[in-house]
Amino acid sequence: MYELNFSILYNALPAIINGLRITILISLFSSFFAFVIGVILAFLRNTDIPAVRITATVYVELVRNIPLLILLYLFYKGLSNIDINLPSIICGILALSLYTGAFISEVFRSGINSIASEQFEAARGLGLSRRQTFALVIFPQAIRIILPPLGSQFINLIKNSSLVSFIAVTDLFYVIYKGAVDDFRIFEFFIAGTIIYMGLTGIIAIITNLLEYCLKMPGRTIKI
Amino acid sequence: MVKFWNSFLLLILTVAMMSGLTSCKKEVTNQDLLGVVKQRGVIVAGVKFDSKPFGFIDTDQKLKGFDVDLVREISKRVLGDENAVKFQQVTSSNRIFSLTTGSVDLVAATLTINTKRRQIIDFSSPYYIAGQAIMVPEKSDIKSARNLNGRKVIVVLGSTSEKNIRELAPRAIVQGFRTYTDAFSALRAGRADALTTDDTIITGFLAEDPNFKILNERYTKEPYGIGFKKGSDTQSFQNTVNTALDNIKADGTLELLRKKWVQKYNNR
Repeated sequence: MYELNFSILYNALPAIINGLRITILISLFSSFFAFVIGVILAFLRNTDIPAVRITATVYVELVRNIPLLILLYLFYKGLSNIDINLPSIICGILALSLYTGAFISEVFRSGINSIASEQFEAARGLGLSRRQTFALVIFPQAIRIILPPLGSQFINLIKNSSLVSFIAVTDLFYVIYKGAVDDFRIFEFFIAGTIIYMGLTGIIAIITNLLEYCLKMPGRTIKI
Repeated sequence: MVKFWNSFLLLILTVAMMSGLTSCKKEVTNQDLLGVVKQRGVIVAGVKFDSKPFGFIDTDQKLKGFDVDLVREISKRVLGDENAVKFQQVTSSNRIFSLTTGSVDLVAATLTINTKRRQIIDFSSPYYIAGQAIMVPEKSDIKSARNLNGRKVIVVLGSTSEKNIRELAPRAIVQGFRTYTDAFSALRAGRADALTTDDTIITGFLAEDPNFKILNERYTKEPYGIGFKKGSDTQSFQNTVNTALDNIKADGTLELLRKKWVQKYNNR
């Protein structure tokens, strides 16, 4: 019989807070880079130049179809074979950004494609350049559509960041796992981990919901 | 906000379910493990696959090592057949759980006997005494544990060395890995200055790669024991295995195993 004893978490609290700090750091940096990569890729996939379009498509399909762990090990172990020794935390941010960036670009692309092509033609007809059309007409509409799936991508990113513990980054999951195996208290530590991760992802959920509410265009929402 | 409260509710539900699961009484009548093993005709043993010379996959893809042979000897004495063993891989961080969840009957995996673990599992008498040592690259300037302060040290999560290093060198930057394979490859890649674990496992690494050396000092005594799940249903199994182990010690088999596996690697 297993008896829960949450008091042991008290001793591990400083370590947990440290781990949380690193998880937040990795998530923030990766989210930013992933967003930038996603926007750039989505734009590249809608350009006129076939070579650029194909390259971007190949990149997206390649990256989003390999497991994140392989990507991580590629940066961590693969690069050290050719004498590039990046700190493990940088490897983690790189892998997470590239991986999530590929997914985010797909989210953007779906948003852009959902805008009727008449709008594109009308904007071009009014004399707007391609870039202006994208920035002033397509993007403001698309961002409202893609907000919920975009939020999901950031939530996935936070959860995926736990994989960096495999390359000895002392993130939240590393601390939780270490505590669980050191003290043989798997339930206490994993319940604590669940709560903390849910708190983090909950913040993202709240932010996306708030943004959705603020950006809502009158007359564009349907009540069922 | 509705979404937030929904997730909050879900969270409470999850926690309630987990504590419900864990506190519910075991209503299944426990079958005696010895009876189960005899009926099955096979001992399920947890051994390491990554710790030369105790449990490792050799170049011919076969599982070999001190612990592996020891379990075979036990099986010979308990079931009358040294091949009536099913080996399952365990690592430093999951070997105790694989016992408590009952996925293996016993664990022989460079498992140090200590009081903290005694609260969770039972041990046989010790069958080998190892000691914690430090492994560094051949050209390293590290001479003892004190030099490790401020340097990067690799450990394996869930091992005794991981806890000891904090006392030996409190300001060392500890990098924990889940397996010895990962730990050693990180040291090889130059990701840290040293690796600390039991001397036995280090000598196994040295046999693979002579570009490293082991420091002379031993910081602890690590008596290895066979681990069992606690409980009345495992008592007769424990007694049988312990008798077999005494027998293995008395008739010189253990000494033969020590010569076969440990000395071979020490005299490189």
